[in-house]
Amino acid sequence: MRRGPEGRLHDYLDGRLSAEEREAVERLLAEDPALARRVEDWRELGRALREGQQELSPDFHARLRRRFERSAPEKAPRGWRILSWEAAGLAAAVVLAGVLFAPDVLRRREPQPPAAPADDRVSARSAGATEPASPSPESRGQLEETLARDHAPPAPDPPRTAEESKKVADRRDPERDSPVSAPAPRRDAAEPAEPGPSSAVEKESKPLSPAAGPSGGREREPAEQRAASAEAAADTLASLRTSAPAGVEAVELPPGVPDGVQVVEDRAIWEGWLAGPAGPQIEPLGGYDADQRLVLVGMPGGADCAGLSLQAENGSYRVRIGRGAAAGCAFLVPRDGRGVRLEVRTKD
Amino acid sequence: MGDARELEGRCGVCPGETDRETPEVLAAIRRGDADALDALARRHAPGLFRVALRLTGRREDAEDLVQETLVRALPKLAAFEGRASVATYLFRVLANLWKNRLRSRKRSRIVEWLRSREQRDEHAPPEVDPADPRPLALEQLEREERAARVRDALAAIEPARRLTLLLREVQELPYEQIAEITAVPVGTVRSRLARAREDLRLLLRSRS
Repeated sequence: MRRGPEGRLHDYLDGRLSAEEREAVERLLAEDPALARRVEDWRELGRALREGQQELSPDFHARLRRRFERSAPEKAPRGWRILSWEAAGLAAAVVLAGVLFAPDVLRRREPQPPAAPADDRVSARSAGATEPASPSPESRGQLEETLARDHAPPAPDPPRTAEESKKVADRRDPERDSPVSAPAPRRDAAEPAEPGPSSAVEKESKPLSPAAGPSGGREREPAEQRAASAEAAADTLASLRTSAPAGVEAVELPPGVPDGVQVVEDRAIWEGWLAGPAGPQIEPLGGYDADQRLVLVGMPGGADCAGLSLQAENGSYRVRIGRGAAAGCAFLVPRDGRGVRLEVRTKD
Repeated sequence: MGDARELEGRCGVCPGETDRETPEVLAAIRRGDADALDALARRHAPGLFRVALRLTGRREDAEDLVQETLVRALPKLAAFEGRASVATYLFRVLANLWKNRLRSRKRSRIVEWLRSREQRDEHAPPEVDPADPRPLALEQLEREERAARVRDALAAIEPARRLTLLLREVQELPYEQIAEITAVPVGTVRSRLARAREDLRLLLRSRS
């Protein structure tokens, strides 16, 4: 195999040279102290990277086992659908998070490009991306109606051949260096995929249906969704502040979602929010389910935050965004720290 | 599943160790033997965690990533033919999940907002003299400080290079296995590794 001079140094470092080649490199290093120092730096960095190995938490395997046990696939409820982890995957858990982000931040955002063609949207979603469409009063109204409406269950996935899957995977990763199938040298493309993340991703990357029709009446938040007592709300928030969420990976939202709807992706984001200027104003808005695995929080004092609600339905969650709810007033927070994919579907 | 339990060690599949599950273990998994699955998880989780911890920089995130990897991947081993290494397969799943998280994160405007100041020039090479003759002298730092400095610099390395570097340095995998995990030719592994080492060296020099 051809190697450049520097490549040879790394091969030397990694013990990939023959005795003869190794001696040649060592002679070179003896003659060039600067080069020798560089190689020694690399070696030292390797040592530093191996240092401080931490062990798994004592309860790691117990938690893993519980996670396995919860991994039964979720049923897909009407309209809104929490996609289960793969057949083997998680499932029972919950979550998601959409964020209506701070308006002042949104104002600073760059203009959004036009919506991608359907295929690109599919591939983007496959990658776990969330790119909300550009906002408009129409789209917000449409969203409101869409979100307020019960929807028909999504159509099943069309079967996808291995070749199609590969195309999707390739589109998903323009660098083409993101493996999407498990190493399975013996299998050919027509066989069912050897275990790997690709199938999970592809199963979850269903195209969204077009948004439902024209804007309807203003959605009122049901009283039962605001039923949490002040004490319970305070407890909830206190708990949220100490048990930051983690692991939300992907949220798919229907076309027309207002700008600012975002995913609370990980603990850092949530912590950033709590630590930020809006932190003291964040309160539970009510409407969370009995398990309180998903909580709607926000700044209820804000005039723009009317009409937000969260309703749990058979393990699924429905978020209603009222006409008056502008970007920047609320977001959803997963509480149990387990990744779950939430998909928002609209009626055909 | 006594055999499988015996496989379990303090470091699981230790760095540099060749792993290839025995047909008996794979057969037990095909039979749905929960203990075999558990033993396999215990065997591979430490190695996955070692890499995940340095990829994510946070224990909680690393453990979550490893759990997700195992939950997704292990049950499917029933269909595993045993030709490829289970570790290779698991690292590949982990790498994909991590990349998906990175992508998702990159596309989040919140993240962009929160981190824009720090990451505006995320992967820009530091402006230092590559031929600076001074040694890095990391060994002169306290262990904690050294680890923290390397960890911080690592986060600024381009993700594919970072992954390659960690698979090599932390898990001591051969280039060929890294190539299989990252689905690139061995030559690409070599070049990524070279770039990652040099990037990391220059970053640390620029911050010293």
